[in-house]
Amino acid sequence: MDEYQLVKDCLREKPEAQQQLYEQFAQTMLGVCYRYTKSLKDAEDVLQEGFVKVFFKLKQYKREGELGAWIRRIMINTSLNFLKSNRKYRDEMYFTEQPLHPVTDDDPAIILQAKELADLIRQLPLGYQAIFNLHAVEGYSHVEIGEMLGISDGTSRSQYARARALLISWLRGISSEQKTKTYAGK
Amino acid sequence: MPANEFEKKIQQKMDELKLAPSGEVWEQVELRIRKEKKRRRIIFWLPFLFLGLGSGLTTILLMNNSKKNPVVQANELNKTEQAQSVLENKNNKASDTMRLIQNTPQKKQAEKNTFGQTTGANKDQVKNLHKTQRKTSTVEDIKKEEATSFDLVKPDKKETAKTDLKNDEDENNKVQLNQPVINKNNESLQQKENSNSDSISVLPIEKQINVQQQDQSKKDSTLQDSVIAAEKKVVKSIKKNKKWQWGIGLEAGSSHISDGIRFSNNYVYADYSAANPSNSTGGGRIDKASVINAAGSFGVTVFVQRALMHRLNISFDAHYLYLSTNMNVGTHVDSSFIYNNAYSSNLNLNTFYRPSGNSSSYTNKYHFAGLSAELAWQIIKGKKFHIDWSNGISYDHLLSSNALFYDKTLPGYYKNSRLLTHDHLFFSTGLSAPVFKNFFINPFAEYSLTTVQKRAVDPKTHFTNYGLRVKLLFNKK
Repeated sequence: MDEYQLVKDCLREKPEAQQQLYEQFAQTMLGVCYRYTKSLKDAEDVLQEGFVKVFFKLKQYKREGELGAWIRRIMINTSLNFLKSNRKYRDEMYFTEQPLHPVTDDDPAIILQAKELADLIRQLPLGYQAIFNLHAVEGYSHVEIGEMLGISDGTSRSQYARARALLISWLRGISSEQKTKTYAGK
Repeated sequence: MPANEFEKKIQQKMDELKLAPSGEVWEQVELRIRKEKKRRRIIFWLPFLFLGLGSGLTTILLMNNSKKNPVVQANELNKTEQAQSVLENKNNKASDTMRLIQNTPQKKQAEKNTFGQTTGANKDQVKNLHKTQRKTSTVEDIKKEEATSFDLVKPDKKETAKTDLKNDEDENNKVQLNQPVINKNNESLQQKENSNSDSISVLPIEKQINVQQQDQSKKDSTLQDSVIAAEKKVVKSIKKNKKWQWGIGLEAGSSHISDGIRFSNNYVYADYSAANPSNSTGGGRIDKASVINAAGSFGVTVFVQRALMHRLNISFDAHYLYLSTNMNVGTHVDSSFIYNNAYSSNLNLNTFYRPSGNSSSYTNKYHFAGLSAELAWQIIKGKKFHIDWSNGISYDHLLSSNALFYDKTLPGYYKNSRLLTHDHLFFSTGLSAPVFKNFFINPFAEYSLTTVQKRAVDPKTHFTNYGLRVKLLFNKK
């Protein structure tokens, strides 16, 4: 069944079409939600909430872009709302403008698997984590991020630079550890 | 877009990230979209329902207004009719009188006709007055009209007419004159005619007119009295219906907590916990709590009511309401620790129930005090029996509750009144019918528009309560 037909059937509230749509995108979208939250359970909560929104907002989907990208945007917004509304995240979700950390052109080797890299990103402080995901992974500009999170683009920029630097240092550490292990093995 | 190689690599890696969600997620999504669909359907129909109720109410009000003052309306109609008939009579009388004056051979007959028609017209008018209970002004109008019609015979012409009639009387058969020419209503005139049958002529005509007018004015005054009496009676009965009456009510039934409008003991999806606890360790999403069953409810009411319209009553009451639900809980645990999660911070947990172990029944009790307003529309009206359809809104404050919440992270049941909504809005509907004169029976159903829990815990549950109410009116006459 092509995407257009699937959407049409979902709009007619056919249960099998709704389930098919869910199954088609659930795994990818759980990956998205997982990157923004701190636990799999919370990610599943966000996924559930996000899919409920998808089914109710499906008539707003104009077929101008890919369905996957549209669902992804909903998941990102739902994740951010979850972070803002959930008490345990809300207290950690603060953004302070700090002196701009110079963005280096370092390009550390990423030897980690996708899940491992995601877990590393999730170890960043919550504010860094959100901004890093939004800018580095989703490709939003700092102005857009500022609007989404209610902060200035300068804050977004500085937080991103710090998050990036932190992540690079962790990746380097992992990489050097790996090298040591490899040499030790030899 | 970040052009840096590092960001590209990150993007590439993250695009590969796929995680399989647990089966519970889809179950929950499905459940919620079905529920949301129902809710949206209700929301969709609500404006139509209100529109229907509003238009129905407006129709009733308009109908009642038109029925409310039939005397005035009938008077207005009859005034028009009578004005027309008076005009017609006036024309007829004028033409007849002219004929009486002009056509000597037919004078007598014309005279008879004039009286016959005039008195006949009067008779009709009086009948109309009796029928419609018209006002005095109308009667006086008619009198004036009659007087005018008699005055159409000018004094000088009257004399001529008298002479002509006398001559005619001599010439024609007197027996004709002895016959009663005045209508039956005018008995005194008839008697006079009979007693003076030989001499009945022009003079008696004037006398007859006077007598008739006197008689008419007597009748008019009697009529006025009866109209005033009738109007007083109507006003009195309206006033009587609009008096406040008071009474007491008792109700008993079954209450339930459900995630929608449901009046059965069906299973409630009992994720009844404080959601998203902070000490979660992930894994399985939902531990189902016990099924919540319906349990008994009762209430006591003191109310006042009065008629708003012909078929519309309004009532206000103050009440106490007890609702309850039933569920199975496990082993009772005496504890002493401070519990924290997303919705229960620093909760001193002295006691709770483990979901496992020996199952025991537990009744969640809710005590409310509230005020309500209700509109009752008489949908069926008989002489002794009627059925009212009542709809009301009530505000209820939760006085106390021992309700347990299920927390899947504990896991267990515990009390936390902070999670409960304390101010509720109930919508109620029901039918009411009298069993005896002052005693009414009222099957009802009510639904809380507000949720049981304060927080946005899914599913958002509401109270439903249905049963039988009996009402006793104390000052009904």
